[in-house]
Amino acid sequence: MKNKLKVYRAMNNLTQEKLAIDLNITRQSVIAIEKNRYDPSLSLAFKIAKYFNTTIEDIFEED
Amino acid sequence: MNSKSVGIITIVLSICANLLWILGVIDENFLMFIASIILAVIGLLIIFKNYNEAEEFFTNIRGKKIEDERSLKIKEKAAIASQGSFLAILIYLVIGFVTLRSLNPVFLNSAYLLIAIIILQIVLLIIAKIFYKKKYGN
Repeated sequence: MKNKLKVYRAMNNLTQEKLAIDLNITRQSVIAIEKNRYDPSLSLAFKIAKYFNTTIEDIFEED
Repeated sequence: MNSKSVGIITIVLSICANLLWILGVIDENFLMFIASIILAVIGLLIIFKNYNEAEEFFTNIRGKKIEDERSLKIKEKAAIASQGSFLAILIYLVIGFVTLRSLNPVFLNSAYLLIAIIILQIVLLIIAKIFYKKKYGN
């Protein structure tokens, strides 16, 4: 699954570390999601969308 | 003591205690066995006295999360893969030992032992599956 997490993170001037702490996940997970190597669970995807005040479909899209 | 010192001392004591225990068993040396217990008790006392520092070292460090859904998934996959590989290796060993049974009776006895271990592992796997099936719904 592709995602625009890196774009949203950059738009909000966030480091991977800061985003990881705010989402309560590891920095490695943020990196893995950004590189499309890990698809987050539904609850985490909702959490990310809520964090950036947008919808899941805006951040995540099917391959 | 700060959390890093407590963590490092605990890890070193734990490694030494385990090594002494193993060497004591191999060498049939009761003094090594007693020394390992003493080291383990010292380690436990250090943790007890510096519990907050030990917890900080071994869990979250300055707000950094060590474990999340991804790391748990990695652990789960690694455990399944290693269990499957271990079972396969055991089965091949049993076949090898049974094939070589005419060379030495030890091979046949070893094969029986390995078969018992394989059965135990399969039973544990079934129990774990039933447990988690009930926990997460059918």
